[in-house]
Amino acid sequence: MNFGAVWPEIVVSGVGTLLVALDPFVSAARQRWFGYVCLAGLLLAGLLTLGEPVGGGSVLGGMVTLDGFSMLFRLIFLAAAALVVLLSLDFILQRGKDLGEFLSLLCFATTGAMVMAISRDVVSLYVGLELLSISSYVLAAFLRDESGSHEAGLKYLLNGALASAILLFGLSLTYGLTGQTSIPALTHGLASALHTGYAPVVWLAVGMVLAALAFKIAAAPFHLWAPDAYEGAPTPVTGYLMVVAETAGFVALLRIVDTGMGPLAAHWGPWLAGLAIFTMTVGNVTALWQRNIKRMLAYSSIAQVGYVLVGLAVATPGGVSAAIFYLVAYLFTTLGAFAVIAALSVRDPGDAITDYAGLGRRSPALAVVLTVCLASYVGIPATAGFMGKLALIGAAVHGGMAWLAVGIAVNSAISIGYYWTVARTMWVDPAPADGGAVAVSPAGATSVALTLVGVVFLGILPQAFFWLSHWAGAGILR
Amino acid sequence: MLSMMVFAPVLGALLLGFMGGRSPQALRSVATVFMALPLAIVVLLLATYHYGAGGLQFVQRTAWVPAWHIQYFLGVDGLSLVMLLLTAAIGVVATVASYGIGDRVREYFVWLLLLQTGILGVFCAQDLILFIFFFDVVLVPMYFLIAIWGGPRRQYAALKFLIYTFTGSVLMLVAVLALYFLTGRQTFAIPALARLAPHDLGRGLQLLLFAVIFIGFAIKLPMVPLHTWLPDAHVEAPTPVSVILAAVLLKIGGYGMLRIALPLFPQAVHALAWPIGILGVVNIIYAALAAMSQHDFKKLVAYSSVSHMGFVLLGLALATPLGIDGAIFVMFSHGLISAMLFLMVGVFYDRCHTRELSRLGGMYRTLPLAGTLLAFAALANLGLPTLSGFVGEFFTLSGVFATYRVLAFWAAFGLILVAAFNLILMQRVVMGPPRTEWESLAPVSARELITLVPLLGGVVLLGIAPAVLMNVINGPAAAIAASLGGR
Repeated sequence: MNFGAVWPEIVVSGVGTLLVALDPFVSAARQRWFGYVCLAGLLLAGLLTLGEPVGGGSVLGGMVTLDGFSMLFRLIFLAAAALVVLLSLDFILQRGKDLGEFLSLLCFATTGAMVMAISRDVVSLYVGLELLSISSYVLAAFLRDESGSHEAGLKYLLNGALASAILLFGLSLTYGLTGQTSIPALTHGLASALHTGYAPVVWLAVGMVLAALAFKIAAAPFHLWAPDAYEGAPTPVTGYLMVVAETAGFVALLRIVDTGMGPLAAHWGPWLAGLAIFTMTVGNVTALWQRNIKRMLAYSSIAQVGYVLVGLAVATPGGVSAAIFYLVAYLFTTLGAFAVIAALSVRDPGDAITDYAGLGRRSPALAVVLTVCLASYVGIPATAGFMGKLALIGAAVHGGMAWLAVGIAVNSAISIGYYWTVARTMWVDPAPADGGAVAVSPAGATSVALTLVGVVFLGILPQAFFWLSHWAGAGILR
Repeated sequence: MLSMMVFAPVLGALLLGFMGGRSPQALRSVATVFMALPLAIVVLLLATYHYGAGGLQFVQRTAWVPAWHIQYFLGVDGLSLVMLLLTAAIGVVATVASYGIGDRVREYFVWLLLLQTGILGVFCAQDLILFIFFFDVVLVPMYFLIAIWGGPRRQYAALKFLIYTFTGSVLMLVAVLALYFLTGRQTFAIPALARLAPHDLGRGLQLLLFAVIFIGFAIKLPMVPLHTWLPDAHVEAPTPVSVILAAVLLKIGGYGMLRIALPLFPQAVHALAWPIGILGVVNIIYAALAAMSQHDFKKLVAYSSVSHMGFVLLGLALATPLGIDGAIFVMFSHGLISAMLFLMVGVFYDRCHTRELSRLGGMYRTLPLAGTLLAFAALANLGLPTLSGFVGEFFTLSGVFATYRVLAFWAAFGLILVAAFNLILMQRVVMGPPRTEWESLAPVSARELITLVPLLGGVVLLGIAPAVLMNVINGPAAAIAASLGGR
């Protein structure tokens, strides 16, 4: 067996194991070093990923493929994990929690997501998903003595386990129908099974897989767990779940729906389109009523998921690459917002939007970054979100689903209502009398700066990433 | 050259953002310098533009996002140049008028400079995506300028402005992308699409895309019934921002129609000429009636803007060189006059702290200079011959009369209403016995005069010698009319 292909995963899970092993022997005062070890490990894994040949061939008995898609998403997960490490160091240490344990869970979750990125077989895909999910349940409940975190973990666990079970049931049905676990063979098998007497079973299996993955990406109407879980989870974990867990769900969806431009794509399309429009509308409209910034961003993430689904629904190469581009834009935007929220809540646990009053004067730099991220969520130019929406709207129009493009347009206009409430609170409302300047640690400042650079770079010079997402999309369409 | 002009204010904003805790005086000077820079460049461009050759000049063109064939494509013709001149000049006026802002000075000028870049960019952009880029960039600074420094209902007004305009622009983005894929020409360049798109699209598609893009710009113009954001935004904005809103921002709507909506969809324009003309007349009459019934000085002036934009729509509907000349002239002249009017609102509000027309009065006696200036602005606004307001309306009306007599009649009727509300304004504010409560008001300051006199000079100059402006805009107007098949 040739394990060379999975060195990056081995390194990341190795770092996770190392941190758990060292944890009892390192005093609380020195735990900050774990953060640097973890970052070094993630960087090494990134370099190893870059060094791998991209042939599109399959290794490890066809379980794993090294194409542009797996390459790009591994890097996305590694980058997201590194940013989350940066923005969580002070958050965790300040609360007197065990950083080693936290980071090792983060490493295992990231390993799971990376395994999903390289999987070309539903078995390894499922294993990766479970590794990611189980680590995430624990991460969500990491602040054990806070009831909100507790509740978040439990809700996430119960709903996630249900979704996993449904996914497994659906996949077992597809195995029964086709005798295959390799994704390309499986989609072809399903397409031919459609013309036999088993068509209802095919629909049942497809429906179960779709519903389970919709659970994982928190698409409406399968989103009800998300606001509670995202609100209660520790702030850095919320950012991680919104970015890595949801993107991983999309990785699975993209692989299954679009591999070889799945012969079933025409059948998935209308369902995904309905899911997209419903999800974005529910997310945006519900977000309008929120008073807590994490809960608002939870609904916002549901809305953003709806936008990405448009790219999948149109089922064209342009749609796939637009969805991938938007996921990258979403990563920087969301982690930028959470870098600011985490930096603010290192000392001050208030997550109400009113707690952001006067931030523009108390801490102009953080307020500027959060404003840029909000603008990116809305889709205002010079930010990543504008280019992302440009790509998605273009894909929808090109794919003959102009009504989805109009849906994105109308929803973007609705979303101003809540995103801009936060901007207004920061810049217009007066600061509370006791609100002083916010001290930001070097790690926190680095995460804020990196995400800002990402959001603005993608907004002004998106060409490289358009090319990358096109290349990655080509990987799975083959 | 064009990039330098567009991005000079951004440099100023960055400088303001990062320079240490200086005095408001220093901040104001920096802002003024970086506002004056584009004006100097525009004057230089006007002087060196080759009028004989016409067309786009000073072109800067590089690939920006090759994956989507988006170009960084700047260029100007006569139409762009006059709009740039208006923008740059009003920018300086507004900056000087902003010296009175005492709260959060640094932020204020940062937003003002960013706003200026957005507007200048809109008038230079020759690529549709770049155009929308700048079009949307304008929104954020404007939001904050209204929401932070505005009047009592500023939050509501600012958000309404943002949502209205953004809805229009994002729908426009959908239409533009549809255009891109339907033509299949792999370009967003406006000149190329103006040449090709009319042949590529069927009549139905032209009508659909035109309608979406037209509505996007009609929100900005604004056109009744999409105008409701304007009275709120104008009334709540601080004086200098109202000046920019009325004098320049509305022109983006008219400019966008002339630059994009008309040349790209000629068949749709012909099919919809009557409805657009009727909407124009409705604009004139409805907004004039609304202005007559206002008790608030600023709101009256705001509705007056809506009314004048009706003439722009009317000129567009004609699709002849005369009509388009008239539309551009109205836009430019309204830029000067509305700026004067809003500045005058500021002059009186700063002294009396009220905009209630019923509480003002007798200002000829109490503030003779201010009263005279207001009377001048109101007369220019009602279209008195020898002042610039007359010329544009005359061109438009004479063009309309030749083609659409009924519309010409109703537009002329609208002009009577326009005259009426301007006279009402004069009567309420400057005539009548002097009020005792306003006896000890400070006379018009030198700073206020510096902002008002250049505008006054422009209004007079264009009224006496309209050819100054006509020579610049005749070429592009003829080109647009030619693209529409008009003569």
